[in-house]
Amino acid sequence: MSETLKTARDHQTVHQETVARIVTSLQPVRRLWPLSWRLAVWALLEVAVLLFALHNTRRTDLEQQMQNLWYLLGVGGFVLAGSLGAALALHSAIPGREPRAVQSVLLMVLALGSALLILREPFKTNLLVTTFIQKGMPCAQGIVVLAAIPWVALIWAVRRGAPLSPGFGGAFIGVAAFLTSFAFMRLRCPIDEGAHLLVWHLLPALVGIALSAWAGWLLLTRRKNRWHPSER
Amino acid sequence: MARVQEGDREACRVLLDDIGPMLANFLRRRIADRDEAEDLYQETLMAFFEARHTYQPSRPLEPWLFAIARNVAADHARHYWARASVEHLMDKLPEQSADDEPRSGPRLEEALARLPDQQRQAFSMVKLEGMSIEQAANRAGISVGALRVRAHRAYKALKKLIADYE
Repeated sequence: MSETLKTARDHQTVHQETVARIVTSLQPVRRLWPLSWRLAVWALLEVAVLLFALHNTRRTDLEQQMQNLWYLLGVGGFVLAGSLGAALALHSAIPGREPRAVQSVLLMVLALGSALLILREPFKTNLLVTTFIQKGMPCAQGIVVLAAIPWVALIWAVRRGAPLSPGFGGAFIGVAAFLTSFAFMRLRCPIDEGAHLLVWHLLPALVGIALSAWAGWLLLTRRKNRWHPSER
Repeated sequence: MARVQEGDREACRVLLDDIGPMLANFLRRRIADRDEAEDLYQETLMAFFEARHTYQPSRPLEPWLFAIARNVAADHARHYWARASVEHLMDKLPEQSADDEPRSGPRLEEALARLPDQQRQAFSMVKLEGMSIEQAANRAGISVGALRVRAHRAYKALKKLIADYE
């Protein structure tokens, strides 16, 4: 009985102390914009990146390719996966609205399905390694350049929230930025060869996603609160 | 909660007094050690404070609040198991002999601690706290069907854990 009373009194003290500290520091906060607005802003940013990619395209057959169903499916699938990734990244920063497993599976299926379409492209085996590398390096750089600004914007947007799973949040941000970047590079790069797309487009995007998950773990981890018990 | 976001201190005090017992019960069901539960209680209130700008007044408060509490408890569980596995390895050192110590049966809390977070939460709410499936699903922010599945899996896992021990 006395033990119970002691515990109850201890809890009451902890409660009152913590409430007093919170109430003393309470300031008005700017509420986060609704998810749909934030997603719309991200989409507008990606449209700007798309216009930049199209302005600098090296393709001369873009109009012709726009009538090719498989090409459109490949590009559209990655854009869709990227947009879903962005939505899930923004969801991951709102407690109680974290992505469900089924949504993550859907994202993976969509991305994998789109990636499999690359295998439909012809594979040339007679290319010189030096030529392969020379033609590929600018594409790998392009993937990173086109993903950079949307990635920074998303990581900032997610940090503004309260991400509860930093690693997953970072991975979703990476998926959003790099898969959309992959799609835009297909509009920019004139090479529709399987090995080139796998090594110089898809591989950098996958590395980017892995690094993004790591960066998310570093940048999105919840700060230990200032009044952590160990600091009392 | 909207007034808390606007900086209304009295509203904040009233809200924290209101949700305090709910949060404390929620954490005590997960954390056997009273002192650790109090630390986590404090940490949860601070996390609530830091995340207050993410709450949308048009949505229910409970799923938002308990997602924060679940996360704090899950962080604690991860550290607990990391620590426990180190201690387990230490126990296996050859110079240590625990054979002469009698083994006691597991308490429900110990068996519960071995369950995945979501299953433990579902089981605790329905079987220990006596909530209806609908109330528990609402608190966890999932559908009734999903809650039912989690609670059933937890029950099966607990049965197996206890049987293995015996």
